[in-house]
Amino acid sequence: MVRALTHKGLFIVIAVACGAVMFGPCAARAVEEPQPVGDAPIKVSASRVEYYSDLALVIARGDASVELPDGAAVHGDVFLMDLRQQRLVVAGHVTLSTRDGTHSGAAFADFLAFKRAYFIPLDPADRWTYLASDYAHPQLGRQMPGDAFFLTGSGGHHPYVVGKSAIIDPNAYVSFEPAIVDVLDVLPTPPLPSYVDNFSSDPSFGQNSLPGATLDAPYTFYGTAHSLDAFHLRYDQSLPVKGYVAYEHHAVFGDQGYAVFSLVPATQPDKQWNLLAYDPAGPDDAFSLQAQLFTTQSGFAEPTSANGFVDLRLLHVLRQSSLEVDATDMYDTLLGQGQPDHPSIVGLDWSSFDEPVWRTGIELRLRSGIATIHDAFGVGSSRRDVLSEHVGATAASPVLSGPLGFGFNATAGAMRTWLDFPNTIDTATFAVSAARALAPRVYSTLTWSVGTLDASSPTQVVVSPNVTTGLTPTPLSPNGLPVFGVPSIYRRTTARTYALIGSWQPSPEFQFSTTVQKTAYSPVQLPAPLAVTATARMHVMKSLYLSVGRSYFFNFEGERWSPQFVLQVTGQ
Amino acid sequence: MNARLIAAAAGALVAIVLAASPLCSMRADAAPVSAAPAPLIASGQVVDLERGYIVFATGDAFKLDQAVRIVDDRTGTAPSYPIAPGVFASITIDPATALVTDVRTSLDPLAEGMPIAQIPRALVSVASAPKRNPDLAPPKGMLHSQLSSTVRVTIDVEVPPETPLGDDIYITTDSSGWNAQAIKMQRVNGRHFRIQVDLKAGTQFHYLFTRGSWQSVERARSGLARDARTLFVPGGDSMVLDATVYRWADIQ
Repeated sequence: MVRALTHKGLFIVIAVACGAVMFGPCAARAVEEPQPVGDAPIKVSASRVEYYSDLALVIARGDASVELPDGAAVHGDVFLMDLRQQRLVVAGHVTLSTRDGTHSGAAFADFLAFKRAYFIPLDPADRWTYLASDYAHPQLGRQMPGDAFFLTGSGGHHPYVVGKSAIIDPNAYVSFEPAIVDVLDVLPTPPLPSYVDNFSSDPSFGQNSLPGATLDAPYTFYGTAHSLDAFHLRYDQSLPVKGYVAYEHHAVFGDQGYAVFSLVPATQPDKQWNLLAYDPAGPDDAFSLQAQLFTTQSGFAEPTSANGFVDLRLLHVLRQSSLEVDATDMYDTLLGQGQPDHPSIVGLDWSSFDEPVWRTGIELRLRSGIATIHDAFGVGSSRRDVLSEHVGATAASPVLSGPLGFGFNATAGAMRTWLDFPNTIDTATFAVSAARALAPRVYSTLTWSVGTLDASSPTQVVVSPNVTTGLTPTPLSPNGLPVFGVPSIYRRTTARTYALIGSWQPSPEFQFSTTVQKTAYSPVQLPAPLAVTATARMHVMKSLYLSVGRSYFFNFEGERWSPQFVLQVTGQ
Repeated sequence: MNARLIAAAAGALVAIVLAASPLCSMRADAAPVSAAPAPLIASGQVVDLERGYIVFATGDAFKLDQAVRIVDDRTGTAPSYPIAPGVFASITIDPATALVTDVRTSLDPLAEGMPIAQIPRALVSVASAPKRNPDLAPPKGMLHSQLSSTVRVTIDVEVPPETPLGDDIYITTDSSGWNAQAIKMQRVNGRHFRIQVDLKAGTQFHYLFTRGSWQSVERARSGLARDARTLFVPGGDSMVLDATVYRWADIQ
């Protein structure tokens, strides 16, 4: 009995010992979690500073001097900053200067996200760890990660930017003064006074207020963690002087807030001044502003003409719907010439979310609104103020499987708008599509859509970008429907569009798509072409893709090929 | 008496288990210095060579013998390049004196001998007694490298019903500088688009769907601006990601 108990005790001791080994001393060790790295930048200067955007590396060689965000200065032969790991290394004949003294050594590494720095002094050789920038009290002899001072190689890549000094914000940007930029990895620019590469994960930096152009080459010359300034060298075939310079400024507030200002073209008399802003006022509210000013002026002299508009919106989210207040002011002229048109619209719009209808799979969205429109038909009209009200709904089916592998879906929308003079405008759209995979990675979609506009007084239809009027032009609107600036003279107009879309992606490196589209208006207004468009997109180098596209028109007033190829090089 | 013997045996067993634990025995500090006089050879990346020391990227410094021989690994002659931080070297250490007697350098990594981190700590020049640092938490996702496997990522997206039938759908990413047309998708049917891309395991980026411009970027279901989506490729052969766009910024 005693022996049996003893054996059992031995087993328990061993089990406890194994448990202690597995979960005891090792699991009890402290683990430090990374903390967000602030906006204070790191400043680097050296004989040569290189930025590898693909590798997220900044490498400086030859008398590298580094100023850290905590005020310490480090000098050495080589500097390396890994932007992904937010880790920097200074190696070779290192001098570390802090407010608590100067030390010389072999290497210094700062793991910014952990607020921990490692230093190898050489008089004599030792290991020092600085915690939370406490340079007065180095932790002596502490172990370091095996790759604490590892200098990542560039692996034969070409540097994207080369200069002699750089400012680095590990979260947002690298700024060089001066800079030589390797365009498309093959064409180095002449030395530029400065260059900023913004790699922030904040999408507000992507917002832009520039109109389209055939070619746009941005030159970002100044940036911080919250701003970006760029000149754009542009080419636009539709302008009398096709080449011009535009300027754009981004301000990013965080939490999705931003303001973007642009002046385009800055180098021609007819100028467009744009301002976009978005500010979330809380979890359920947001303001947005869009303002445009159009001037004709030589340089920045007094303009000979000026007009513009401003649109301010407040969106408030309810439980399963949203409310939007929209105020729009348009100024026919801002120079006090005569009696200008000054249409202004203020209104309120309610819109539900897409809600499922029982278990049918159909989604339904409802909307309604009311708006008051001042100067709706110009200063010469007898009707200066108009009240509009609208109700509408959109229903959409899911994609339903049909015979022979086809998938079908349909969308229908209808809206009625009442203007109080009175006028009634009905818009309706219906679209149905059938799609089928013809082979692996080859898809075809056939669509048919019809849109109608019914107006009891067709020449007095107000079309506005203000959403609360219920008369907002939508991208679906073909000619004959309420397109901004193109009122219909017919009481009822219809547009029908047929399209066959094919797409093929044999590999991630190549895509091909083609569209055959025919539109018919009833009654006939503008010519409606039958067009075939083909676009190919292919990988050309590094992460750059080239898109080539062109259209061919049948029976379109003698025009056959679209005026030019669409060529586009994009980074991916 | 019997119980004492058993307790002693258990204690010894615990000590053996502790010593053999793979979780706690990885430290090289406790490794004994080889009594054999045979020289040790190790290689790694050099971060400094000055004041009689050669220092490696691990932070390990080694005292150089006054008669140390420094040659290029390929030619066997004095290196024609500066021994700057980042070059690679294999060193020969005399265990009796803990001095480096021979250094062979290269611009490419060398696989000669043991890794520097495995050299017995008694041979490394450290003035202070070794102590442990708190561990650093590993990154949330691994970072991709040239050695990472390539993963075929398929992204499927359902678009809202009011999406114009003739429009293309794109993905804008932070890795492309938020280019609104960075990745073009293929139309699969009236409501769905798809794209396949090859990405390295460990890749992470933020993205949003657009119809080709920032005026037509996706919004949250409420109509408010939404946070960027995050794509992380953990590894494996392939990965499928389903997404839904509820609204576009330019369509009410």
